[in-house]
Amino acid sequence: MRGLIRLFAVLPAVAAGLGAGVLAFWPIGEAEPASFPVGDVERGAYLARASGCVSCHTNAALKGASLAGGAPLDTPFGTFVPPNITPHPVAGIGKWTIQDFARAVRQGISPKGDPYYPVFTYSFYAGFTDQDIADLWEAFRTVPPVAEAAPAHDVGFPFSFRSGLKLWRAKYLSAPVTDAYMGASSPWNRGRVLVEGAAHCAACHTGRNLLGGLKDSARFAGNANLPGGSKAPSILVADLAAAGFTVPNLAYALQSGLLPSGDSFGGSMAEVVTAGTSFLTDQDREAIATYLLDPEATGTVAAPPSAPPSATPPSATPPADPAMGGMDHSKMGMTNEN
Amino acid sequence: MKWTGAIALAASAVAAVALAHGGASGVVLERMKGMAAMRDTVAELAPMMQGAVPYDAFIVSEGAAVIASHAGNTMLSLFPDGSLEGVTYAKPEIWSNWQEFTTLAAEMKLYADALAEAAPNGLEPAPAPAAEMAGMAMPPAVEVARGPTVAELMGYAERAPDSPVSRGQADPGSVAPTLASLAADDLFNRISGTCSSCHAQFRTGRN
Repeated sequence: MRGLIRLFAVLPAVAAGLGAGVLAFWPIGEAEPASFPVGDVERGAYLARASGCVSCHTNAALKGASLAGGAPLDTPFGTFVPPNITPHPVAGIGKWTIQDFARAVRQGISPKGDPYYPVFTYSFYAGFTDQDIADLWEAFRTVPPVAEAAPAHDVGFPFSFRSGLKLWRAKYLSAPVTDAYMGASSPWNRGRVLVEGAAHCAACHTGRNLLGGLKDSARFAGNANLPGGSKAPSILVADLAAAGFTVPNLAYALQSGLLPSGDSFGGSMAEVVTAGTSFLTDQDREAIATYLLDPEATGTVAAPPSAPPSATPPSATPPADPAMGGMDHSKMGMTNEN
Repeated sequence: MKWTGAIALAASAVAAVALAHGGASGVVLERMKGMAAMRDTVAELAPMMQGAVPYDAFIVSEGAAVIASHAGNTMLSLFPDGSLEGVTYAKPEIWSNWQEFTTLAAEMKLYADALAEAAPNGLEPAPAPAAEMAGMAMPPAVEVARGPTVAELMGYAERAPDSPVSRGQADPGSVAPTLASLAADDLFNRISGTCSSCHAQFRTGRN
């Protein structure tokens, strides 16, 4: 009897051990190029800001040094702390090569070959070009090094077993579709690159399944379970239009934090605006709005419910927009307080 | 049929109000009304600030006065210690970080008062000297460019003060005399930045 119990106890452990061993040796990732183009520091800094590197890896609430480690993110899988990615040789990424950096950013693999947790939104950066990587690398090298490492993640078993993430990668990891769409305007295509790639809107605005994979069927339909109990509203075109958004006023919201209702973003989205989209150019904000409000690239943007029937884009001297005239759209709950 | 529609519309409007303020009473209801008044005013002014509708200095000035009337000490008086009863979006952090809340309420009043006075300035950019005198020092050795610098983008330099969402970093009192010389949209951006900053810290999500 005792032997039987032992068998039941030991066999799964042995099987799990074997599985873990296999996972640990399962190679992931692809080789990065031996050489990269010369980076453009300004372009890289802009991309770092647009991609959320700075906002996530900086603990603004505690007035922490830039990129020296972000505010902890509480998730159902544990608490993750965005690490110090300043060029400090010990506490940061100072010993990395550009190949290490490229592998981390667009493949989600550490220099030691470990997969990163998907809380780091590397899947959205998978389409970054060699030039993008070189630009980012130059910009990161300008950051003052900070000698203090960020605290480790606090993640329990089984999620603490990093090799298990290889299974997750095999099932859920896919590069975003950001190719130019023939026939669409250039702002639309630029918007697609930003929304689907660098700006990684879906990371918050698309729901996730129990394993943290994005639910493709609920793309942009909102997520009520963000880290820390926050929630992100739907940014499906119908919901954006119902909330009174137009291309100009959505672009303005991404600059100012103000919604058409007169309310302002709170919580996570306030941070996204303050530490992210408010740094973008007007053209990029308009591109994001153009893409989100016309996801099918029809060339026209649906007017909000209270707007006149004409849905043509605003001319040089835009007419008065009744949707912006103080009407209350707040019941749509597009406030994104957290 | 028309009547049914009208009744349904009226009912939904009542329901919307009930939802918005559902269950709130007393001081909580009072401050919700104040916030709603500010929100509606901001919604009215925002299109002017974007140039989407013609600028009207009178409306801007009146609107700014409405915002000012709900800001500062008026706002603080509606947040007595621990007033979280019933349905409220207020976070307890308001009272654990009362100094910050007070600062934001004061900034709101300061900027709104300034906008009420500065409304005739319109949307033209304020003259450069006035902007410089606004008391917010540029980081040394950083080139003044149209867009953010590399250091600002990478986060290791404070952002230049003309950014719409960076609220006043300097002591508000020291900048008051020059605020009214700023362009209306600059002040409006400061007001909206204050809204955002306060909501990000002190307002909970809705269910």
